[in-house]
Parts: sequence; C-alpha cells; structure tokens
Amino acid sequence: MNRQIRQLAAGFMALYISLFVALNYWQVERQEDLNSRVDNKRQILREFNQPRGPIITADGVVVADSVAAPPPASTTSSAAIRRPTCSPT
Amino acid sequence: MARAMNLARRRRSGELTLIIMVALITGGGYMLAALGTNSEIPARIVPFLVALVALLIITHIAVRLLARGADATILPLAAFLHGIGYVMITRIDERLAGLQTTWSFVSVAAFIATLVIVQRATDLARYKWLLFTAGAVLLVLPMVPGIGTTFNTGARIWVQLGPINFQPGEFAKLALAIFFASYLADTKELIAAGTWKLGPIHLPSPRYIAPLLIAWGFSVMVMVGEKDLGSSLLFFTLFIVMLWVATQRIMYLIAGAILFAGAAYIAWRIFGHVQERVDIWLNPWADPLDDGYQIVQALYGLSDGGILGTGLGVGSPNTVPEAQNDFIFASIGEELGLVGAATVLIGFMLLVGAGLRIAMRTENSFEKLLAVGLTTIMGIQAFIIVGGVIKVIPLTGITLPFVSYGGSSLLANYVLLALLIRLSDSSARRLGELPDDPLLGERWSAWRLRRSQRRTYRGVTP
Repeated sequence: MNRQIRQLAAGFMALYISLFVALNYWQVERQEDLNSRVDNKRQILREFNQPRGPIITADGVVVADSVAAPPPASTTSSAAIRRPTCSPT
Repeated sequence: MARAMNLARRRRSGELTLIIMVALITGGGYMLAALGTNSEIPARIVPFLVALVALLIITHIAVRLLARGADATILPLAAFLHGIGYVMITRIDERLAGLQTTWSFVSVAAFIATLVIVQRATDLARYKWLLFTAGAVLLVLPMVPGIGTTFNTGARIWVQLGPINFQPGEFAKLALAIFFASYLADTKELIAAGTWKLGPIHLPSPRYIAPLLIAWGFSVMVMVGEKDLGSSLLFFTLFIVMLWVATQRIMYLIAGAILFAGAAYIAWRIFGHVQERVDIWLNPWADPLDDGYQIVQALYGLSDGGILGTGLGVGSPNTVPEAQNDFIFASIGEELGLVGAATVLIGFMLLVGAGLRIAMRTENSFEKLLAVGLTTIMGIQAFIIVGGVIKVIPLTGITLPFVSYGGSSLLANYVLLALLIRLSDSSARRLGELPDDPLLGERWSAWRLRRSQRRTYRGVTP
C-alpha cells in the first residue's frame, strides 16, 4: 500500500501547488487590475479611514476635527443598519 | 533502550520548542490585530496570554503523558493554524471570538479525552458496525423535522437540541473513516481479487462491496438532500481514496473519477443551486453585487493584500460576507498577504505530509488505512474551501479545518488530531523506537486480574 500512499502524497502536492499558483495569480499578477476596478471599494475605504489631525486656526480655534465614526454597516445583517431619524410607524 | 528513551524525549522537546513558537506567533498576532484596529493594547491581553499558554502547555503535557512517541510536528502545526484562525476571528467579530474561546477549551478537553479513551488505535476497529450506525444516524439527523435546521445558510446541516446547535456531519465523517478503514482492512484482498465474473470483467463480489456502497451512497444521498455539496465531495473523495489505497488497484481511482464526473454532470443538470454555483465560479463578475458579491469581494481583498498584506487589523475583511467562516482564508490573504496565506497552505501541506508519513510507517493495515482516511479528510477539506475561495474550483461551503470559526468543526478536528497522534505513537512503539510499556488502561486491567487471581487462590469466590 505504500506505493499508493506515495502517489496520494504526490496528488496532494499537486492540488496544493495549484492553490499556490492561483494565490499568486490573484495577489500578484492580477493585483493592479483588480485594485483599479470601479466597483472595488477598498481603496476608498482606506482613504476614508486615514487618521487626520484637526485643522486649527492661528488663534487656536479648532475648525475641523476627526471623530471616530460608527463601524460601517455590515453587508450581511440588516440589523446593523440604523436609521435614527426614521420613526417606526 | 537508552537510545529509545532519548528518541521519545527528543521528539517531545522538539514539540515544546515549536509550541513556544506558536505561542509567540499567536500572542504577537493578537496584539498586532488589536493595535491595528483600535491603536491600543487590549485590556484582555493578560488573560488571553495566560489562557493561550495554559491551553498549549496542557495539550503538550497530555501528549507527553499519553503518547510520548508521537510525531513532534502534528500538534504544533494544528495549534499554529488554530492560533492564526483565532486571531483573525477576534479581528473580524469580537462576539464570535468569545464563543470560539469556549470552543477552544472544549476542543482541547476532547483532544485529551480521545487520547485517554483510545489507548490502542486497533481497539477502534472492533466498533466498526457501531461507528457505521452512528455515522449514518449523525448524517440523517439534520433532516429530521423539528431538530434539523438551516440557519439561513441554504444547507440543512444543523441540529438544534435545546440551547446547543451543532453540525453532526463533522462527526459523521470521522465515524465513517474509522468504519471504512476497519472494513477495508478486513476485506481488501477479497475486494481486490474480483471473484464475481460478469462476462470478461472481474468485479468484486457484491457481498463484500455492498456495505461500502451503502455507506457511500447513503452519505452522498443525504448530503445532496441537505444541499451540502462540499461535504458530499469530501465523502466521495474519502471513499474512493481509501478503496484505492486498500485494494492497490488504480482501476478504483479511475472508476471513481468517472462516477464523480457523471454524478457532477447530473447534479448540474438537475439542481438549480449547483448550476448557480458553477455560473458564479465561471464568471463572478456577471453579477458582482448579488450572486457573485462574496467571491468578488474576496478576490478584491486578496489583491488589496498583495504580497505582504495590509497588516493585521488594518484591512477590511468584513466586506466579505462570512469572513470568519468559509471565507477566513480570504481574510488571511488580505491582512497577511501572499506570505501569510502561503504559510497557512504550507501548514496544511506539512500536516498532510505528517499524516501520510504515519500511514507509511505503520505495518498494520487498519492503522495505515485510518491514517490515510483522516489525512484525506483534513487535506481535501482544506483544498475544497481554499480552492473555492480563490476560484480554483466552484465554491462549496465547508469550514477550513482549525482556522474557521465553528465549534463542531474545531471539536471534530481536534478529535481527528488526537487519533493521528495516537496512530503515530503506536507506530513508533511497534517500530521499537520506544519501549512498548503497558498503558494506563492495561495496567488497571492487569491489576484487577491479579487481584481476582489472588482471591481465587485464597478460596474466596470473586
């Protein structure tokens, strides 16, 4: 049976190599192409999440400040979407 | 004998070194993920580290006491995958991480319990018909009205008993692997001989192949009925691989591949949900906001991660639905990049290698086949879900062993791990790498036997 087990090991190796090749394809080969697609929100999300300092006038008044935003609504559960201005009728 | 003792001790200290490395990686990852999301070291860091180190050390001591001749890499590899998965789950969903902590403790308890109960792997072979029945019942359980439920996942694979929900299929595959191994070890020559002549073709006698076909047909039928394509694929592969290794006939592998192609084609023609899966696989961008949303977002995550990843806690894996479960590999690829994702793949590869090495080393057919079966379950399951996430094969929902969120899966995989470690230990004993001293259970029965004999000699009726 050891011959079959060795062949099985080779088979597993081939399967995992195919995964590794696919991973390289998506993460390296297609990286720029995917990142620049219009429906890809990740670049925008990153831009919005950039920490920014407050804007302060010369006399020390804060005119703009960053506050922590609520976590983005999960796309899976509708319970996470809150509409505080809408009163239930 | 001194050399033999040293070998076991060297293996265990090698394991301890690897375990410490796993603790450092997991602890560091947990801290980095918290720093990445909240820019502060979490308040729970101390209890977390204490629990992490305690769990790792307890499992290590359990192996040291109960299976000291076992391969040194199996436990650390599983602990590494579990640790990486846990860090990703805490980062994706805090509430689920709490549940996963509980399940981790339960799984380690089950791991130790399995090592205690199964002292000799060959003992399992005696319970093959019991395990056959148990596997069958577990598979059908989710279809029983009242306790079976779908939890909106589309697949009816859950059982709800009071406050506890679990996926019995995870345990059924272990029971069936043990049954297949035991049955094939007894009848492999009879099946391979092909005593039933049908014209020019020699087929195995239906008497010997029937229980296998029933077990396999049953599991596939139930899985198709429960719409759980991933598990159905897993059972099919497990069955074919074990039959092929046991009979040493390539014919079974070829016949299996043809049968599979036929079954896949028929399933594709008949079932709408299969067609949908295949269409999404072929072109997820046909409907990127609805049907293809999950996989398209997973691929965007992977490409955003690139080679080195966005960093733990800095990416946005929550964009992918089920990021903590079926799609955890995409989250790892996003935040830890190609390097981290490849590390996880290599972890699985090494685990498969260790499992097959056990199968090669042992001379006992049952142990050989069981090691092959258990390794195949783990290796194929990881391949099916990772391949589904990165669009190598159509996506079928199934957990990534040790990494994904989910109690049943973690528990079943730790039991599987304990069985592999037990097999590794018994093969080391049989090869004379360490003295095969009597085990706890055997010492106890010997003591009871001595006591009863003493009583008999003294003239006391036992």
